[in-house]
Amino acid sequence: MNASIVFRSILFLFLFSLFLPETKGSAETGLPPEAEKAGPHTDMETLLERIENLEKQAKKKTLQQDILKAKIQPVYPSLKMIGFTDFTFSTTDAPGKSTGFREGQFVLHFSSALSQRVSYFAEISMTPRKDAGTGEPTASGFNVEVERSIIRLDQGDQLKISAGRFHTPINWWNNTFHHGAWLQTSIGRPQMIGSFIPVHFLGGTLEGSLPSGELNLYYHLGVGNGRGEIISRAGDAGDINNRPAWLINIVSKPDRFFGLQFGGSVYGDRITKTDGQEFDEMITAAHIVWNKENPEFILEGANIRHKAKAGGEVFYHQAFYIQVAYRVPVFHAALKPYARFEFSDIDQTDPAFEILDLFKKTTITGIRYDLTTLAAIKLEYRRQKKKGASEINSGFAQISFTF
Amino acid sequence: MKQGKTPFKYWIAALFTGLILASFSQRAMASTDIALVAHPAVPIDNLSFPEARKIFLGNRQYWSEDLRITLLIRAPVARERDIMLKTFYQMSEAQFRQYWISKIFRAEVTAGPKVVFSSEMALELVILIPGSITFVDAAQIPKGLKLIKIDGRLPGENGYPLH
Repeated sequence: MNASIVFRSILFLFLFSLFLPETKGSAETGLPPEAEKAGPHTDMETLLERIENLEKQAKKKTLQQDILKAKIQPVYPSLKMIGFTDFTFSTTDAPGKSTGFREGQFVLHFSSALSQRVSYFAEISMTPRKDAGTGEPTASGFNVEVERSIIRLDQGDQLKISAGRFHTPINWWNNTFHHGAWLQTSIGRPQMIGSFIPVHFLGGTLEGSLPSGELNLYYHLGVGNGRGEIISRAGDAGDINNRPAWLINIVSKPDRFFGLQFGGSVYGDRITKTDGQEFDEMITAAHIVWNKENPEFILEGANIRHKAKAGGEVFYHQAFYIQVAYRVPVFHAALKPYARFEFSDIDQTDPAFEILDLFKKTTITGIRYDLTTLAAIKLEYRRQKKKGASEINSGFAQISFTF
Repeated sequence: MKQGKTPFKYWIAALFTGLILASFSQRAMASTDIALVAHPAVPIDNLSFPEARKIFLGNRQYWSEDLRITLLIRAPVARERDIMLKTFYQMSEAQFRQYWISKIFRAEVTAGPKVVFSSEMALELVILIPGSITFVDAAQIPKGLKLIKIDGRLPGENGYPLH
């Protein structure tokens, strides 16, 4: 590169010299005649003035750099906050359900670096509930919950050690969207994310990347309190038995297909019901996701096996969903039609899942319109069917945003 | 006025002019490339394209155990940002913003990349912040900064991907 520059410079100088008019100057000093006339004293003054200016400029630059340096010095803790919420209008032909508006979860996220290696993340949700208020009968109000509270130590990309309350990392949707309605394409989440799989996990996890070349493998290992006595709840105030839950999750994001992610998980726990019955639970789950928006494709499923501790009876349950969406490349790419099909097959004879009341089939079609970069309007039609019951049709309109 | 043959020196000048213009046009092509520039202490000179993408996606966050990666990314409307969104991220501006909000939501990072408002600011900060990496127009890089090769290539070389 240097040789090339020298060669170009010589060429340029040579060419320039061919057209240069002859100039006359002093052979002794090399200065133009005007400068010679002015005398050496003026030259010296000019030079001194230039040096002074250069020194001033250098000082100014150093000062600017010092100010910049002070500004960019990391400050701990570095608390940052972000929020999500939504408002939804719904109408349905389901018996006993009314048409009207509903306020969505009001969710606040706090993230803070405590040092270069240690960080903290918290998620607080306020959920409107008919029974969250005071009085008798209870008035409606907001139910406040610490959804996530995670402290993490980074040992590098290969090992990150966390403790706290997590979204159980065995399900892609649960980990990726959960409370952020604006983040997800559709209005609601698939029904398998709720009671079917345990959505919260209290304990410790290890995560990081694995040396895997172009496959780009990431792992997640965890041990902690699994389901509570109410199976949709985590054991926040202590585990309900002496058998901790554990999980293994492996995900690949291959280099060759940028946007593709696939992976699988295994989760084990012992469920202890309020009546003392115990079941060993084993969940196996898998997902494949193309998370670019042209198109967006999500396929995720899970199989749950329950084995009664007394009697050894075994129950199996399955659920999956498939979602497809496409961001239409017109109108500033603000429109995104989508569709989802959900299926669940629950063994109703399983005492561990006796409170689980899922639709067997759910079909959703909708369209998302991105009002701005940070707010979206969604319209959705939902058709749902339970085993042996008639179909339920519902319509939804939602505005969701982050702030 | 005397009519005659064109003097030899003008032929030579024409020839050299052609050569210089050709070399400048090559230089102009190189100047449209975007260069990755890192803090001098970054222990890497060359990255594969997928590895560089992983860094800018925030999926790789450390150069080494002791050195965290700090991303310096130009504010919207800058040509450099548009090129990075097109090549590395393959995202629109809206998707890019959503991507980083999602990443914070998943507790994978505590904050998004640091935003810089000019090439000069990017270059000043990249010298000051250990572990930082940024991208600037290849024509604007002063001497002494650490250029990161992509797949063994520097800006202006055949096959360099960021342009």
